[in-house]
Amino acid sequence: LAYNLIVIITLETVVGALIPQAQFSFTGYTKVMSRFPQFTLFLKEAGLLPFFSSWLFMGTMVLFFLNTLCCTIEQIQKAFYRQQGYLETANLRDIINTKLEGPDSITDVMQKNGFRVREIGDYLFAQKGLLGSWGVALFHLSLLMLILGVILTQAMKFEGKFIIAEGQTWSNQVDNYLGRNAGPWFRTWMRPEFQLHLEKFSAVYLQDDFPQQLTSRVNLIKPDNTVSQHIVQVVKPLRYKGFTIYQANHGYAPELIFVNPRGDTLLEAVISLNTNTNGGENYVDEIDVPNTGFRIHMRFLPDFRQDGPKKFSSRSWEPKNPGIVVLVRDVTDKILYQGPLLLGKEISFEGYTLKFPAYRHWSGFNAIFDPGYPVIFAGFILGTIGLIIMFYLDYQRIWVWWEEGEEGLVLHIRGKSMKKREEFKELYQAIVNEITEALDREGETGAAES
Amino acid sequence: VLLKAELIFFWITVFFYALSFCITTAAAIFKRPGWPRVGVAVAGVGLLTHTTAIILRWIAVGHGPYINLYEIASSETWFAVVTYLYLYRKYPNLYIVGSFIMPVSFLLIGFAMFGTKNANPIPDTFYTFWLIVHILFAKLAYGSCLVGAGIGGVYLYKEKWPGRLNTLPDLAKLDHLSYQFISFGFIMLAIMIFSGSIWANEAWGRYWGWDPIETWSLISWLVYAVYLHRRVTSRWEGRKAAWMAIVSVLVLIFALFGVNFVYQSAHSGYMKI
Repeated sequence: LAYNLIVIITLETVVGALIPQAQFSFTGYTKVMSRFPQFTLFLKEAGLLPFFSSWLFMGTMVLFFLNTLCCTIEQIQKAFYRQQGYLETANLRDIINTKLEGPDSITDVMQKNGFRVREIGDYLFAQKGLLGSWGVALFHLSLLMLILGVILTQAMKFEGKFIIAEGQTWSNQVDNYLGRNAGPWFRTWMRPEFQLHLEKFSAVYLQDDFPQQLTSRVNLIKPDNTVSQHIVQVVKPLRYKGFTIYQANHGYAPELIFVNPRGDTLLEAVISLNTNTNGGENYVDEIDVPNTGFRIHMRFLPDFRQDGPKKFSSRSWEPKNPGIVVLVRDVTDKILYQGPLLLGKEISFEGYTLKFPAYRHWSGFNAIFDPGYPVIFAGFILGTIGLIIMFYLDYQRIWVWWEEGEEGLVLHIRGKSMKKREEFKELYQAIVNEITEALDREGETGAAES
Repeated sequence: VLLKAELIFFWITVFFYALSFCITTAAAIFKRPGWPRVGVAVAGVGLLTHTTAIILRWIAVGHGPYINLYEIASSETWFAVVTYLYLYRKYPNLYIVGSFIMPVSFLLIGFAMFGTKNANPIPDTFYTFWLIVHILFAKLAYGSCLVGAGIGGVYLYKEKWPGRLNTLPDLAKLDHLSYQFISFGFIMLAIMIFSGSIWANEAWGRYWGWDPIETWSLISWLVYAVYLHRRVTSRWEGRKAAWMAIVSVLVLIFALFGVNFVYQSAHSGYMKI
């Protein structure tokens, strides 16, 4: 059954790789699928999209889990029995006629060849490389751990996105996430209390490419108000009480001041502009000015350049010459101002003034709580150890016992090894010869038979 | 200058690998006793020029051979040839495996030559210890599985024409050798997938996302699992095992090099063609 299940899982995984999934796009394949709308509809109605969370794949995995569970129990049992000495179907068999039942000389021969010998009932059991008997059991156990880890992840994983502008502090409250996703067993008490203050964000700009090596210097403020400083980078997340904070993306947050004709400040804000990583327009947002009905649409250009009368662009991703392209409308949608606003400058319209004195970076983070991951990690380690033991540590065993024969006693010898069979066969034969010689010396054997 | 020199060494390597293939194959056909050694020596010279090319590029671009398809194909081929030379050192009679390894090697690096050879910047996600583990074990897996499949091919040849190539080890020995290389490759492949998964978790907070490369790596691992499971439990040896070794390595080659031609994946960003 295990073999058939592995084959079925392999075939299903191939099918899953051929059917477009939410996780990836298949170049040209979407076009192919669009040519077969009936087939696509059939897949949807049959509940096969997305395939890897469909009833078919999940059902197979449940069967695989049950099969692995049974196999694991059996393998662990076997491994335990083998510690005590366990009679199995032998690869090698010999019989020696003897006159006396005396295990001492046999024990000596076995021990000289590196075997550990013990007497169990009527049997004399010699074993070598006992650890090798655990390989299959450990590997099966690791498969169970991997499946358990996946179940825990699916049921309890929490994932939330948030951003912090430089100088601002974010609190780990459910409502403070821009977007979040939680498994059905996740409970709010699992979310630790903490605050995160972004001191400084920096990025390395490679030529004109998108910023690389994003680095956030943050202060972690715990409930008892103790503060610790940390650096968060893409592969160096911050871990705190089961939560892991990943560096995700970044953007710009211009500071804007809006002043009315009387000189009153109506708005003074740091506005974190969206970063669109899916190819759309970057650093764009729209805000309302309180008590005026005005709306300000803005597009931040890190390296401002004017290409034409109303055409603006950014020469690079690096903030060498920051500017904002501003569009101000009143409550009737009438355009009051449209044009650029460079860093440190201000614009005026209808008596109002809009200032752009400074800008900051904001840093985007993903907060993840995944109790399944440690189980998965342990499963990986155990699986690797299991595989190495399985393929490279040889468990060899030889067992003997005496029976009454027509001409006296008969010594039965059995041997088994799963690996290096030729080498073991030679060793086994040498041991049989040594036993025969040892018994001969004591004058206690008849003719040896094989 | 270094990159130009690298390119010259690279083409010389392709030439030597192709020449090695011709000599080892001719040695098998014409049964000339001295030729196998010459064929392997030529492969060794090719490996030296290949190593030089990789080192020159490493110095020029400031990072190891793992960013784009050109670099990856080159380094994986290097490991495959090293594994072949190790095999020859232990079993000189198996020089004929070069007739399988060499064409795959020079075709793969020749094919990679058509891709971009630009020095791509290192993505953020590469600044981790798991990168080394993941990449190293991918190369070890590829090298040993390719040699395992090569021995499988030799097995089929010897089985079909038992009178030829009398110097080869017997069928049982060939079968066992192929199994040994594949079981080693299977473990390497497992560690490659494990470390890639841990790396993904360090970078993105998820250890598995059914990304096409992840999926196809899993498929290739499962295919080898089918082979090994059958072999251990049902004594699946001989011809079936040899064919399985060859089919499995084709799946692995697709997982390592072919996926990016068909899919957009998390690896596409830097596995630039």
